[in-house]
Amino acid sequence: MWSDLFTIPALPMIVGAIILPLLPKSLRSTTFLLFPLISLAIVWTLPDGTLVAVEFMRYTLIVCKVDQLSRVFGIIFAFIAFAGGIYSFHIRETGQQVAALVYAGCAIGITFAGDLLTLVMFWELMAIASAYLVWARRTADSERAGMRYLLVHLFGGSMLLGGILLHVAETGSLEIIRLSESGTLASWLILGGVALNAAVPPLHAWLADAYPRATITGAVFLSAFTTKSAVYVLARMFPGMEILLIFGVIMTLYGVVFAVLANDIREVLAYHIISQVGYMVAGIGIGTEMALNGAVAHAYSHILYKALLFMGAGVVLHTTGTSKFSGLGGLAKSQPVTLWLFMVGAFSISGFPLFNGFISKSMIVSAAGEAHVDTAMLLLMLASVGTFLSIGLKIPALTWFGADRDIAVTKPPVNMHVAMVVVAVLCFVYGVVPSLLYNMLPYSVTYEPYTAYHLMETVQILVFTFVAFWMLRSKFVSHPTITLDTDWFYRKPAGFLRRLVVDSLGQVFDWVEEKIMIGVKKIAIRARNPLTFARNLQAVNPASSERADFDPDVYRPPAELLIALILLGVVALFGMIVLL
Amino acid sequence: MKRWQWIAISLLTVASLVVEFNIEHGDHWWSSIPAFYILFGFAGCTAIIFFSKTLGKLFLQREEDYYDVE
Amino acid sequence: MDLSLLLHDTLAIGPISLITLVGLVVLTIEALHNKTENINCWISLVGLAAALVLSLVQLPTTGTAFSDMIATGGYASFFSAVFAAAGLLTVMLSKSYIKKQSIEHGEYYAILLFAIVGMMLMAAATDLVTLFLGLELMSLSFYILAGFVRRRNESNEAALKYFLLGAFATGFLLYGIALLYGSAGTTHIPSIVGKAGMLASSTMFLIGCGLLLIGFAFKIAAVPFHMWVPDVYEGSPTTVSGFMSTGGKAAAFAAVLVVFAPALVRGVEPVRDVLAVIAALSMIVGNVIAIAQTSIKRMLAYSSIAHAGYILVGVIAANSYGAQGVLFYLVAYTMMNVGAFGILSYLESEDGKNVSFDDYRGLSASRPTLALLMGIFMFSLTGIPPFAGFFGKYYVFAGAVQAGYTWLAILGVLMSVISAYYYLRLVVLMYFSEREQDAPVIAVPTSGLGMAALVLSAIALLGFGIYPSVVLNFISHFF
Repeated sequence: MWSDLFTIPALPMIVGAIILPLLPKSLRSTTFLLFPLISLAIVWTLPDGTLVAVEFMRYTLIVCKVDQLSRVFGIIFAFIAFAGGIYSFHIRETGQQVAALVYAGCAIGITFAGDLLTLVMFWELMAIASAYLVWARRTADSERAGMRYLLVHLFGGSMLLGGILLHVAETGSLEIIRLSESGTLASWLILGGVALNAAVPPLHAWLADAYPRATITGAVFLSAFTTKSAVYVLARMFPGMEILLIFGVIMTLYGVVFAVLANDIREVLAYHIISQVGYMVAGIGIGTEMALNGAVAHAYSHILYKALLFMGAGVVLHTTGTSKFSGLGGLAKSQPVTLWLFMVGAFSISGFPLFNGFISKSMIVSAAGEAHVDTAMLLLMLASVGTFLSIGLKIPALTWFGADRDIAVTKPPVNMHVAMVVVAVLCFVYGVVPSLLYNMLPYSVTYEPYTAYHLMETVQILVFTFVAFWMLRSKFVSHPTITLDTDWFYRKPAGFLRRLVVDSLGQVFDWVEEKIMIGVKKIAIRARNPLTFARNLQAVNPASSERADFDPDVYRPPAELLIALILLGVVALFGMIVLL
Repeated sequence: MKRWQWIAISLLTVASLVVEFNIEHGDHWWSSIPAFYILFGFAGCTAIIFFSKTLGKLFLQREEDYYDVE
Repeated sequence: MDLSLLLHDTLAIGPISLITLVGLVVLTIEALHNKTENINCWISLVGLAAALVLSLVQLPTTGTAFSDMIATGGYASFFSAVFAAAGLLTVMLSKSYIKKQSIEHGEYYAILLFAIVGMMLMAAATDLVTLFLGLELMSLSFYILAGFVRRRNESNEAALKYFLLGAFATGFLLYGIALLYGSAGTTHIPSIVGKAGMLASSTMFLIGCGLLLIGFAFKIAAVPFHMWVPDVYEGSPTTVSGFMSTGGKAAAFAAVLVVFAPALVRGVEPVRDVLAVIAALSMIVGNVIAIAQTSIKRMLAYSSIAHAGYILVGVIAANSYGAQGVLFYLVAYTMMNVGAFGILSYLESEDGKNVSFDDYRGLSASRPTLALLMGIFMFSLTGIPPFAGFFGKYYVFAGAVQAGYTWLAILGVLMSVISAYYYLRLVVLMYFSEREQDAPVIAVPTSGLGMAALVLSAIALLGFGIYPSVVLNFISHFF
């Protein structure tokens, strides 16, 4: 049974995270690459139906369950951790390396989790590890953004946990099951928690807030794991829910609109994560075999080309010191390699033939067509237009072409380009030989992307998006602005709310304490010498009234008064006995 | 944009139109509209640009220090 | 008096007798000799270790002693083990701390030991009188310990406030005991719990329960009887604060779980409702006010109010999940709070400063081990897996959901998210902030024992988190 634990794919990553700080500094970057490869090997070789169960508390936890769906996610997660490791080879900060390993390990853990408790444990730990990658940037901005990110994610995690607690109470089982038709509070809470990680509006604002502020290498990891592991869970637990189709389509367009306004390369890319995940969510919402295949294929492709795009943006940030369009332009001459590797990613995301976006995105769009949700299909195509616009046209235009601001450019470490080449090659390979990807998908594939119709459609859309962009290119001047998003609702009132709730609550208790102290003082004065009630204490100086009533030399009750009181007491006592 | 690039684009467009009129169409309501995707790409791009920019100017865009009262 | 029976009973409550003896020995040595600090410390450590072992040995067998007034084995031994462990950790941390604060007197250890005796009595009580005895012994010891740093105003204030308010609360408790006796006809707790269903309609019983509740609520630091906590925890010597917040709370909860046993809580609806309100308020107030704190010590004080709320949820659940959750949570909480206060005491300056958030900036660079340990404690307090804190909360909230108190569980989970803000803010400051240039460098004497205690707590947290069955196997028999 113990040896079974070694077949858990997430284990090498977690163990690696623990081992890494203990190694000498010079070996860490190289050893880092080892662990994702081990995980990848395990995922590749584990047969379908493998089950690793552990007795824990009162439950039987299934910490590893393998099938087609989890395997394909596991493969790409492990691979991209490897590629990210190459990209961040030059990083000397152990914390980031450990965090990245834990982060990737948790994502893989979520993928292979067979029960809800394992799922939520990895979920929560993943939030911390990913928050580290935001904080590690070490600016005042990123410190606050990291805390916002963490709190939002812990909130999502608490929705998930709450839903799971309810679910377990209702059904008595921790098993991960399809909840699409459930409709109970428990399943809505679980859906809410998962949707937050998938960046479904209005729970998406954390993505565009945190990702542009993360470290250069951390952003590559961030782009892959949080959202796609959530997509996996959606595909597993909520396929075919119509609400997902609606929200998915909204997401695709939402991301596109905001990307047009964004002033930072990584912010554009972040909003396009939302947009592309929208395709996946919509595909899951449609729920047919082809749609689910498409969602999975698109997740796979997206991890590859989005990482590539973030890598490119990271190189720009590393070499120029800024990722804001208002500070960039005219870099084509000084960074042609970066530019063209970035463009591979841009072509992929835009769905150019010969790249992996073409073979995956269109599967979802076609699935929408086959399921006869024509409006959705059109809107998804519209989002493609916007994608090419922002990433294939706007970013290069403002970063590498356009006004030459004569920016000082340093040379990037060679491993960054190596990583980009590795990923770019894969984008191309999958685009040219789609069956390599199709064979890994959970359902059998009858889709053929390279049809004349599809090529015609793609060429016409892309060419004329370009034409429209060219004619309106004067609109794409960069301004140093920010765009408000739904996080306005908790960021703007934050200071005011804090004063209202936190400070005032403390003040209430302080006020009560003060009033009581005053009351107690007054009683204490009287209590010292109760006969001040009997005698009319019209003292004297209010300032010295305290002394006035407690000066034993001045005020001593006369013996007669005391005897009178005693006699009064005796009479009262006998009176009570007689009367009662 | 160099001249040869414009020529290449025009050739692509023409090729796509040739292909379009020689193959079976899909069965959606827009499949029978000639050069639909040309119009879709052009109009869609324009619409997105104008819609986003308007939304930005009206509601969403602020100075960089907007949240800095914290 | 049958001597053999007396001897038999004294041995039966082994840990209690042992610690009493050790305490008296320490006191005697302190009175008769000079320069006894080291000896007293080691005697205490040995005694506590022996008590711990003895408790674990006695765990499987249950029984009663002293004409059915004290329980032995099982539940009582479990808590004896917890208190002995907490005491052990505290003594390990105290050795260099009290030297630093110039309060190195043997009486410190003796009174600490007597407090532990009181705690053990509280957990082992099967009679309300025994309970009261233990409570008073523990409380009086704490009053003295709180004011141990005589030269400092805050410590005197803490002691006096604790004493006055504590005596007041004890009064409520005693009156409640009297009313309970009046309505039930006995002070034997299991009998009272057994009759609870019948007595639920008796006003005297209800009022008695209410007064008892008030007394206990004070001890566990639940809203609205929490006002003493921030000032007392802040003014007391830090190791004492750590011990008060963990051992004191655990002892009070042990007593609560015996008196307000699941059977009673289920049978007497008003008690359950009042408990629910107190729990909800504690979770909210504790977490919300903790956000505003700038002193880590005060933050921990307010957070302990919040944790009292979480644990109360388990009492309200009144089912096996809830009750086991309470016990597991207390074990985990003891480790993490003793650890957190322990690190505070380690880095504290001689005049009690250096305990605010800003003083911990950049700690990961200057004291990486301590920063890592503090990070572990903070993560566990927030409830992040795989540390034990997560499972404590899971159990307690699962129990609440099963009992139909879903709203309490949801509230608890949400409040935990808020707690992440102030716990993890410390982690961010330690790891991602720079130390201020002109910040004074505090010379921290290294203490092998202290570090050992901290590392042990952290390992225990991780261990109990990954293998909760180690603890759960013990406690699953009790409920």
